[in-house]
Amino acid sequence: MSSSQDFMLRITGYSDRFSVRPGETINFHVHSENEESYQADIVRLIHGDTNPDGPGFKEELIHTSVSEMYPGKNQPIHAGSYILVPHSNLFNVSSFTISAYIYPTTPFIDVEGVNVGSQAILSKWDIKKETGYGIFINDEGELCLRIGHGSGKVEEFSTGKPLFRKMWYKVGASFDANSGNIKVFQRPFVTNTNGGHGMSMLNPIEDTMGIIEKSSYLGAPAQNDCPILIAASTYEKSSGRTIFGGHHKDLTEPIEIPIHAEKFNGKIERPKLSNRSLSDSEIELLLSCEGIENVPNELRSSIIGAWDFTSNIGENAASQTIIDKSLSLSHGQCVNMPIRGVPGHNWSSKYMSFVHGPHEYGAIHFHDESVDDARWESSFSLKIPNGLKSGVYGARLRVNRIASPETEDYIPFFVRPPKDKPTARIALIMSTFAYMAYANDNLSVNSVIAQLLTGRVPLLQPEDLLLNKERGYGLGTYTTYRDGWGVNISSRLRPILNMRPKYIHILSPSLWQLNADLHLVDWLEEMDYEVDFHTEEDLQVEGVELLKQYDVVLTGHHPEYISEEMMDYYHDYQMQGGRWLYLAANGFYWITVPHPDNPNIIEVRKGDNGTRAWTINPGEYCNAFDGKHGGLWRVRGRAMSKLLGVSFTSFGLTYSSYYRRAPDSELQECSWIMEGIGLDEPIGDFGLIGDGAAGLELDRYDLELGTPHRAYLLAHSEGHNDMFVTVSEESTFNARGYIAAGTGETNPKIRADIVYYKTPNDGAVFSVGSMAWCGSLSHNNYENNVSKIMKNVIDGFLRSGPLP
Amino acid sequence: MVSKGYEPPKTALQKDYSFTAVDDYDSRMYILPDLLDQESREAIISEHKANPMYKGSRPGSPAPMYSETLTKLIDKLRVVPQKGKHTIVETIPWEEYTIGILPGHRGGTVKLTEEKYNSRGEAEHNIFLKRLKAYLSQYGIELDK
Repeated sequence: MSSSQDFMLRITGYSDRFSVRPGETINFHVHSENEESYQADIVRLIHGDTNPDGPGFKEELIHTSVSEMYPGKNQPIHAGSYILVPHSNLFNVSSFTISAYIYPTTPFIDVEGVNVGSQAILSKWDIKKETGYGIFINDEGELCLRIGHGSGKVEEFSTGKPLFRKMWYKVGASFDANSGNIKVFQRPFVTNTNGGHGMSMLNPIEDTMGIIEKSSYLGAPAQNDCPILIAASTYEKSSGRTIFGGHHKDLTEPIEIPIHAEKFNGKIERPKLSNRSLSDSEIELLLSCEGIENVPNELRSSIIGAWDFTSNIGENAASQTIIDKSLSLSHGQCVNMPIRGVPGHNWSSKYMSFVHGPHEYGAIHFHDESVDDARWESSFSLKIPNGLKSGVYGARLRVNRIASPETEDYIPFFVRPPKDKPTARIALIMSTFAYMAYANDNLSVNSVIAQLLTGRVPLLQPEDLLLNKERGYGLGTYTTYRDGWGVNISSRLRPILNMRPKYIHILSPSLWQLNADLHLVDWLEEMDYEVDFHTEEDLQVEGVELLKQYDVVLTGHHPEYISEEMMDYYHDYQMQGGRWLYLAANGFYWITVPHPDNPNIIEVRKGDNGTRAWTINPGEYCNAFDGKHGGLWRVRGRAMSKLLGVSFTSFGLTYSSYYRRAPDSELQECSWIMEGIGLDEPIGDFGLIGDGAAGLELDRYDLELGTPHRAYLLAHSEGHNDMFVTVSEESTFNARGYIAAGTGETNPKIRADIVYYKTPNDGAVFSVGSMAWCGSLSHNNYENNVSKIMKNVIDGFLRSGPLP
Repeated sequence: MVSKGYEPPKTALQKDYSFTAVDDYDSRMYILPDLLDQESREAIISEHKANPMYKGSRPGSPAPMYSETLTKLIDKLRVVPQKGKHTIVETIPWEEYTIGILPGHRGGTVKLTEEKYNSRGEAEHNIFLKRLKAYLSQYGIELDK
């Protein structure tokens, strides 16, 4: 083991796509922390659980051209969202005025108490050469104007008053190069509603209002060729990385992005830049306009940037192009995907969506930890050989060929069958949206209440330590940014370190997500079933036609995040005779939207209801990516039980329990499923996830919530401990116990139900209502009653003709 | 604190006085009475040692859970501040564990101690003992050796 400071994963990476077919190429982007060389190999991943009580880790080395040593390169992530307006000499002004509304969320320290340092609002600033100009929040939390004359001559003029967190301000600064006159101001703009949960009674206002007038005799700012950045400044104008295509579809050619710094946390609205010093009334006029709509001609000609954040939001707010309404038409591009269409300084609560009141949603929220794409150099690639078996694969990376937790990482990907040529009658849809939603939660280090949820101290592995050092590599939807706002965007174009074989997840006594899904993959392999693998991204693109190629479809242990289209496809599959095994709990829960121009990025808004990692802020309920209400599918009329037969009822991220058979299991229609299982035999009182098949999260039937009226109850679990709690959406009045809330030993609604029902055209659904089910499949060398039931169901579903 | 140059009002509210006061009341009323003598402390410690993280439920028996006192106590110990909080670090998979100290913020370094344990449960129990010692010391109670 290395020393305390160094003990962490030293190599990682990501691929440019999740799934790939024979003949297609996948690229891998690798970061080597200490620039050490590494061996790369392609392996088929079969079983990722290293628990000595189970069958152990299983992988199959695939001989490909990838297998060789590669030189390691340290590839940093430049996190933090901002707007880039490419350099133009037009912006190398002598006199100028900058104005905007701002809503700082970390004016001085973040929610963990860490000093944030200076933050740029709008800058044309070269940090290294100290040239240019801009308005900033200085490292004392005050608005300031900075002018750089080069050769180390920098002037800063601050208001001397602190900016408060979660409060709108009118801010600005002007400089007249002829007279040397300078004005800097920050004026609170507080209404009953615009602060969200920020204060609406500010008294005395002087605590935070500041207006200063000064003089400078050093002349105009020194010119530079840096871009204008909104919410950041330029550390290095060339990063070697570009934006183009995908969510930057409006660009006609790649644009190089800078290495940025002085990253701002908070909202900005109506930023404007003029090439002369404006009067107070002129500044007020500009602040009153989204663009320059009410501005007279003589003032218009002085405005060289009027970025109107409302101008291209409509049905969605997903565009990364920022329109400049000034005569210079210097349009910008968002980098690292700041949140568009958020409530602005004038948000009144009359409208709850930018779709209905875009003029009240003219702000953009920036976060200094956002990542839309790591943009690392490609390190090697693989053309999928013809005939390669469909399955879960990984690019295995080993520093200096050493297999150890610090020196080994896997970049998982999924190989599909050839297009329109299924190689099996069974398909497994991998829950890639959920893998993205849970990405890089960093809860072990950041979450104060994590131990109350799980009932144990988190276990950190070397990848957790790298993740914490890297501030989460862009984080995921189980985290809050450092300003307290929930992370609602997740990209897969960066390492997802908790989506790995061998990984032990904080939310489980052992496994969760991909690694837990490998329990199922392994069992299918051991049972000799031929299976085709696809991802949720594939389903999103190809629709029900993908599912219809298969007699039986399986989903993994936790397909919690699902799009509207995917819900439709599963519904259509069931209606058209498809037979489906839902081997999970809490599936189809959160409204999830892929970016309309880049399916590698999803959005999730957690709303104010449901079992959630954070609560949405006022007025932010609707997804930027599609303009529709976000949060629980249940609130949009699509309770999970309508498709799955069961509904999320409880979670306990602790040890598991077992099932008991229910009377319906003896009916002629169902008895084939329980063939070989004794009537009084406990089901699944063993397993690799918490020692039982009923655990982590639990679903129950509920006729009121859409469980089909002819559904059968085959089994239910019992004996859940007091770490299992009722889900919040089921508790209207949160009473002490029993059915109003309660824990595992008091509330009979805290259980997993196994439900089976038939659908039109000889279709059927089998639901287990537990996230721990698949962890029991391998017990006793795969000879056990969970395995037996699974085999009965799959074999029965594969038989043609009507079901019993 | 909002900014370096700004002195926030010195009100009780700013220091979250009420939370601390009620938390202290709850400790004194509902937890400490069961930890005042050595025998009861040993009983609580033994209870945790036997079942440091819970276990799977088995047919015919109640789910393995803690006594009311240990439940209240451990929930309090589990939410001590993140800065300086103990965590478990797996140094050799399934063979060796150590205790780490959290930095309290994202981006900081998790400091590893020299302690070594053969199982996760053993590490869990030793963290419990460290937290219990710190908790009792706030009330002038020294944890027995």
